[in-house]
Amino acid sequence: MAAWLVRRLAASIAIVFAVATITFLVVHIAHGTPCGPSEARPLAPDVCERQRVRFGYDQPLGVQYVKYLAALSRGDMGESFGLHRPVGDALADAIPNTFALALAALLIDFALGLALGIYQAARARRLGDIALGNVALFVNSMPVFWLGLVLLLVFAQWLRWFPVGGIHNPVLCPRLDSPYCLLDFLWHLTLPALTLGLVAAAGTARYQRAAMLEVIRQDYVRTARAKGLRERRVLLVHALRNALLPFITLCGLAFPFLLTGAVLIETVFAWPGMGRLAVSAILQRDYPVVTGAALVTSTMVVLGSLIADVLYAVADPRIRVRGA
Amino acid sequence: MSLWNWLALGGAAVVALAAVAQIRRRVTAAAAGRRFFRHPTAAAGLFVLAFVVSLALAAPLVAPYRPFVQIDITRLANHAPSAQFVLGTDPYARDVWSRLVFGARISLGIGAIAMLVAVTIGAGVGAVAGYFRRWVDMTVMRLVDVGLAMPRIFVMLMAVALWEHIALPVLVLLIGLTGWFGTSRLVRAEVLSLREREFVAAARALGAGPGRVIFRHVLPNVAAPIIVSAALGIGNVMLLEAGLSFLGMGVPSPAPSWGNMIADGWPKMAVAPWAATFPGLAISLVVMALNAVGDALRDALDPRKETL
Amino acid sequence: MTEPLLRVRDLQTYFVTEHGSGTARAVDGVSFEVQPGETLGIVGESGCGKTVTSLSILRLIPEPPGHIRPGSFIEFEGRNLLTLEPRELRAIRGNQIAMIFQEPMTSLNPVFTVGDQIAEAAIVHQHLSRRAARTRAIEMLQLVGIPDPEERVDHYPHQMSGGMRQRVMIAMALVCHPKLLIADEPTTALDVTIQAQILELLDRLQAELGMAVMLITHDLGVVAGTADRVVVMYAGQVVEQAPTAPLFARPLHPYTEGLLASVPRLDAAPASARGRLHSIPGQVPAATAWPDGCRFHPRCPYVWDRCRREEPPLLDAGGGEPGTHTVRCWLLTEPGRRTPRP
Repeated sequence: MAAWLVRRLAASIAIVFAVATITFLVVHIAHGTPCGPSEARPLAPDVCERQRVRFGYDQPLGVQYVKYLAALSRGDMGESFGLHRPVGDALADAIPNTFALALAALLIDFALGLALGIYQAARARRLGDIALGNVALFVNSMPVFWLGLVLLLVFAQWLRWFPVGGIHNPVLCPRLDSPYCLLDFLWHLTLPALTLGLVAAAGTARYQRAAMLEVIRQDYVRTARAKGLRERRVLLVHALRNALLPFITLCGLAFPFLLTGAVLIETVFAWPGMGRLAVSAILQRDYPVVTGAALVTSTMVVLGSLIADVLYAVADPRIRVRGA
Repeated sequence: MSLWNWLALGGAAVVALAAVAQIRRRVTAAAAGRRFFRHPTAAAGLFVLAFVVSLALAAPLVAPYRPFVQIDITRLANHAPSAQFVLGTDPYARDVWSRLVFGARISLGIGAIAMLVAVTIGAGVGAVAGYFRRWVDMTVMRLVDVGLAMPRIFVMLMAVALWEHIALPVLVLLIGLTGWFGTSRLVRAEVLSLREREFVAAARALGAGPGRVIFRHVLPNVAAPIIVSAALGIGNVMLLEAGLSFLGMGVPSPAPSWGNMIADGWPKMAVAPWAATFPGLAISLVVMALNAVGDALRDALDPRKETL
Repeated sequence: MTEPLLRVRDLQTYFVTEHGSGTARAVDGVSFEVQPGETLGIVGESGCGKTVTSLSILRLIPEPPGHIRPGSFIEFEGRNLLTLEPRELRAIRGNQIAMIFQEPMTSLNPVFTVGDQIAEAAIVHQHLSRRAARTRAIEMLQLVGIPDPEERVDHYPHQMSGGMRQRVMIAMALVCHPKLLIADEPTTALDVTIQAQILELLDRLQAELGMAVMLITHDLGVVAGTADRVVVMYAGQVVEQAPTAPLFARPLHPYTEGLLASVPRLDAAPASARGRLHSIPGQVPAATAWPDGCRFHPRCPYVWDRCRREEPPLLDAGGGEPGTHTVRCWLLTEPGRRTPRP
């Protein structure tokens, strides 16, 4: 098991490495210089030359690549053209917000999706299952940002239960420094997290329902009933414990969805996270920020997948303990 | 909307019903077809898809206005739904219904084309990896791992950031190029198992080269996961395109796509919610139909359910 | 005669099929009794309804496609199992009546240890503490002959061989000392040598614990060695019922005859000049369309037109007290027709 872990870790590092390399190549193919063919910022040739030297673009590709990797390992992702600050710093400010959003959405996703999936499997093919199944199908098919707009309209504008956007009350809580401000933060977090979480939960519920139904068919569930156990125990202990294994796999796959959704949700709710940063950077052709965000996101996806795999190996005794 | 428009709308519905009925008749001869239609949402999903496609094809007949027409910018912007403007007008005084119907052409078209690109590449790559195995398989699958690590939207954002102006066809191609990884894994798994079966050995014994074996013998048997991938893939592409258009990076205005209609309607959401709501509803319904059909297909084509 | 431990009368379990092929009448009027401490063998080919019968006793039939029809009667120690409240039924399952299944590979939960699964029944039914239940589990493992039980109790099913898993299943079933053990094809999925060990184990445990065993199998050899009485099933019905020795010595139903003749024997004269193995011609019919009249008539070597028209009831074949040996065949009324066709 330890050997497997080491190999898996190495594979993850290799993937992140490859993503960084691809990013590097793509950037250099597209924009060899910092003053490319951009009509918006025509620079005088000598200024251009100085920029090139300053950013190190006059050196051979191989050298640039090594410098790039070295810089990355220090957390240096270059300088943002638009913001005039290191990309790393800008991202460091934005990532915790995206992280909070993604985490909250993940919690909603797990709790709601799992509960719904189990409930549907227990009531399979009866009215509750069919009705919920169709609702889940509909919610899972919605564009995430559209749901955000609708929820904003209903709950923030019409009902005024939640704020219309942003991450905090700029007057009362410019910083998170009191319990009141924490509550304020959570209040602002609710709608965006709920939007992402609901759509994700709908998908999880559909998946988990199928996984539970698959497990319920198994012989060992029949054995559990034959032992005289209550149906609730049969479902929630014997069946669920097995159905949690595909659930862990699903969790690993949730990261790409959540991070993609974050980009759109952050735009709708003016949430100052990585996605919003990337989107506004595009409008200024500030590609160091965008590629930096892409790199960080990919790393998070790989990490999520790795954690899921490790959890699965720990949870499944057939993998954790060597067989006969 | 005039009477002709309503008639054309009814006509589209009838055509869709007839199409579904025909499909049902032809397909339920086989056990797989019967399994497919046993899902109540499958027939409904097929109808929705057929209806939307008919509407898109018959757009000039069903829509009272051309999609770019700004009817009366001073007085008719953000007009609520009425008899004349069935779904209201958007902030630029354009009829929402007309744009919705013409937008169907673009959104569905992009979905179909990008999906075709993705599924073709994915099936081809997966088949090659599964058939040749060893180092071909290893390199290809590492590539797939890397591809799966980068969320599609970020790749698209990077592309837009780096190349200032991306023509729409190139964008569609890019969407397809970023979406084949999942399909390739599925196809590879199928091919790996099929490879060991006798009909492959028989084909090779007759002197068929690897290309012929893959395309004539193996791939037809891998049809099931490919078809399911395709159905679900269109939905994913439509959602991605909607997101990109919403961010301003997809289909450029004034050409209508369901995504950029939401973007157009967003600023006036409080005053005129219909402009952004109906396109989103349309996307949701179509993707829902695609998911329902995809799920029913997956169940119908499941080889484990094949009985004698 | 003592009161039977289990009395099944007119059991009918039907299944609704999906493709509109009609209702599958898997068990269609089955009656038998199990006396305390005896071993009853239920024999038949696959598709005859023996497994469905055993599942019906503990009401383990999945309710949407299957249902036990009203008019069926299953009595255990004087209580009708079919009308019990769920709570009372649960108190009997695993406790008074236990069941083991055919596939030891899939019948144990892969994510729990063997010890936990055995202890669970003790905790639920006998309210033992976790530690006491664990000790019980180790005792049971010892009882079923698993070496190093203190170590094995923390192993997972995938760490054990098929034969050992079946022993674990037996341990799990017996931990509450049930009065009746239903064993549904317990050895079918195992190697022949392991089969013999498991059967021997069941025999020994039955003697030690004094419980009744209902042994369901398609293998006559298994039944010959261990059963006191045998019930032969075909097409959802009981076709013959007798103590073991008389059944094997003088099978009266043509199906039983055919089953016995199909068993290859080294010392028997070849059934035909070319030394071919005997087999019953034809196939078991589908449960959705049992034949008219006697359900065995399409395959019976002695068939005449009464068989095609009228379904025979279970007739008494004598051999001691009434009901000892019963046969569902018109030959009992017209024994002269028992001449083999060429």
